[in-house]
Amino acid sequence: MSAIFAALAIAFLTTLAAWLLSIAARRLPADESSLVEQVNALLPQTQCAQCNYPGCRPYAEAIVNGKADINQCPPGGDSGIKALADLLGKRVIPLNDQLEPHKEPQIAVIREDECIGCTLCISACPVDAIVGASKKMHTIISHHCTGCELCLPPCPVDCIDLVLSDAAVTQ
Amino acid sequence: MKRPDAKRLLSGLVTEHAGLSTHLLDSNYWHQINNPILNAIAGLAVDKNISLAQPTSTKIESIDLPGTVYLPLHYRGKTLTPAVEKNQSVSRGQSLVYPAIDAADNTPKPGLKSPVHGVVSECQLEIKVTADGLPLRFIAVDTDDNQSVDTSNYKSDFSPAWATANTDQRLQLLVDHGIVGHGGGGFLLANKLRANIHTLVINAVECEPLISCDRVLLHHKPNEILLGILALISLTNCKQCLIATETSQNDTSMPDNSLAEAVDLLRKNQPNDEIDLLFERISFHSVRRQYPAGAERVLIKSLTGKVIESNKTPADYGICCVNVATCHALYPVAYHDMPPEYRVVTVSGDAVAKGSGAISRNFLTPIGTPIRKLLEATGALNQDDTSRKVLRVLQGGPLCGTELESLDTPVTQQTHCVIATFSPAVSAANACIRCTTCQDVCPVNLMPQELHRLIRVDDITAAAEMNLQDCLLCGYCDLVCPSQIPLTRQFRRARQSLHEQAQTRQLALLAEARFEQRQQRLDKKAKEKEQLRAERRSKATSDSARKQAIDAALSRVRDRKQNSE
Repeated sequence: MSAIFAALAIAFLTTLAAWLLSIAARRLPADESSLVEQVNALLPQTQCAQCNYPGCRPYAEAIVNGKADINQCPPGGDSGIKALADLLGKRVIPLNDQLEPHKEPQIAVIREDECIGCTLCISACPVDAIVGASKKMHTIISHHCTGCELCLPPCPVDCIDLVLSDAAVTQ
Repeated sequence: MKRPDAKRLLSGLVTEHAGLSTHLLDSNYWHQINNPILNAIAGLAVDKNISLAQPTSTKIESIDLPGTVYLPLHYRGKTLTPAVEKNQSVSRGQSLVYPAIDAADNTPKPGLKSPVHGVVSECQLEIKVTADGLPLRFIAVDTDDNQSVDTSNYKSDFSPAWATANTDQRLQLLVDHGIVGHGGGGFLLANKLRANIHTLVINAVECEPLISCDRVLLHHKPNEILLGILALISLTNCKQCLIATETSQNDTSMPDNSLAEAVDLLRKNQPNDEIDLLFERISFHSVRRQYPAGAERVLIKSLTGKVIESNKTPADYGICCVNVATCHALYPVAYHDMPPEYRVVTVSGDAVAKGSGAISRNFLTPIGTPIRKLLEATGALNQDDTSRKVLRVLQGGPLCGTELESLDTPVTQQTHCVIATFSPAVSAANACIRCTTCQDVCPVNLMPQELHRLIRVDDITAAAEMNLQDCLLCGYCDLVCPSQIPLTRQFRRARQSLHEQAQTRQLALLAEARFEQRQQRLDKKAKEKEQLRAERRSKATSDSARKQAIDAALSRVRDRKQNSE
């Protein structure tokens, strides 16, 4: 008798739990924003747009929504792809060869005597790392520069160079 | 040399405290363990009946100022920007780099002042310090023949710059003079003192075998050390200052109490209530000479009973642990407003010992001296042995030291020991057999065998979760490992890459914040523009409506005129 009672009790409890869980799964939205945060945290935040999205967060959102693959980030390189694959449970794939190749961390440096002060690079810099004013020499705050290369194309006198960054030089 | 068995080793270990075990190895066991350098030396020590752990000589030797000194342009993986040009002449105490802030954690980078008069011969000289790292950069200064040294005259009053400065300005002075910890870690002293410090621990415990520079310094320069300690006490305004020295059980040749005697002498010579008050905070403590009793966390635990948790620093507990040699370096800064010019360096190893008969020799070395010069002075470089065996040079002690690639690497503030040895590096390591002997001896309760496994599969994040950061790099696990795995070397490398990852992450966060601020700013601008356009459009439309109304009124007037006619 007690065995039957116990079996019934367990059956009742399991059904109850299953019902509650199914309601929770439907009512509570999947926490996509925090997944975007986690993916975004693995991206290098160079804001270089080499992934064809206008910044790291939009790319993270595209990954989470399934619109982009995880191999679109050249600055992150293979280690970045591996970290994303670990987080999302996907397979590690090589970097998309349609995009720029992976490079060591670099920063931009303005050859200051050649700068004509056109302010075009200032408006191109996604992380506000360039200071200067119209017809005044510009310079790059080296520890703010992410090496995104976005300041290179607008420069009319080609006075911006890319050099290996501090971190790459000292270690 | 016979391998030690774990039981024998453990019998020399002291009791375990809650949270932090102090498994400290008794000095008597040093000659039984598996370190090639110590083994090589132990052979000598047995022959000459000299104890390994105790310093063999109180002698302090001086070494001539070299023709060129090399000064580091790097601090913990960051570069400093030189503020001088090639062929520019510099004087002692002149700043050589631009002041800078470390962007990742917003703390200042150390300054660099020239310890000599001379001419800059190279601004960005690259020296390959270790075999597996990129070359580091140095400033080379050719020294003048005429060095008017003025710190030799003893002074017990603060320099005007130090005396008139408030706490922040004094910390800035320490940054400008580039004072970093002399114990080996090389952290910027000012960053450690920035918190509210109530307990100052002066670390004169050098537990690593063969090293004796701090003891020799204590013996020869107690007054200058004491003045440095007083400067620290007045800077931090700490409640207590614990001076930790090591007991010398077997050795009576070098008294430990030089500093205590100096305290008495200074109090007698300068009867001054103010200084008396400072002295009342000082107390002396002695610690058994065991390894690694002098490690910061172990020492704080044994003196104050406080366990520093893994993600915290002593400063979070209001404690600051300062090496005794750092206090000595403070003397020229606080009393002469000059950067430290010398430090005591122990030169040891079997290559040195064979040359002179002494196991360790201590040199009062000008900062920036290439290590090659030091070795030349000991005769380690011009031996016949060099043709047959390979000379290895280590910076640091026999356990914590790292092998040098270039002998042009200079003595910096944190170079406390140089070892020249013919003993080969640990040859091929065997596989880990999971004996957990390393876990038994780890002074900070880590599981080196697990860390080793995780680092081998390149899972550094998981190793960090197992508190890789807490590793003291004491080299203890290497000693007891029956498979001779170079564990500490792996841990050091893994920690370096962890540190780099953390820095990169910090910079990425800052970049993201700036990107988002810019995005908001651009959005706001675009919205304002849109608004302005809309206003203009509505204004234009309202203008045309008014015109229509006027036209309508005029046409009505015209109609009425025509009607009346």
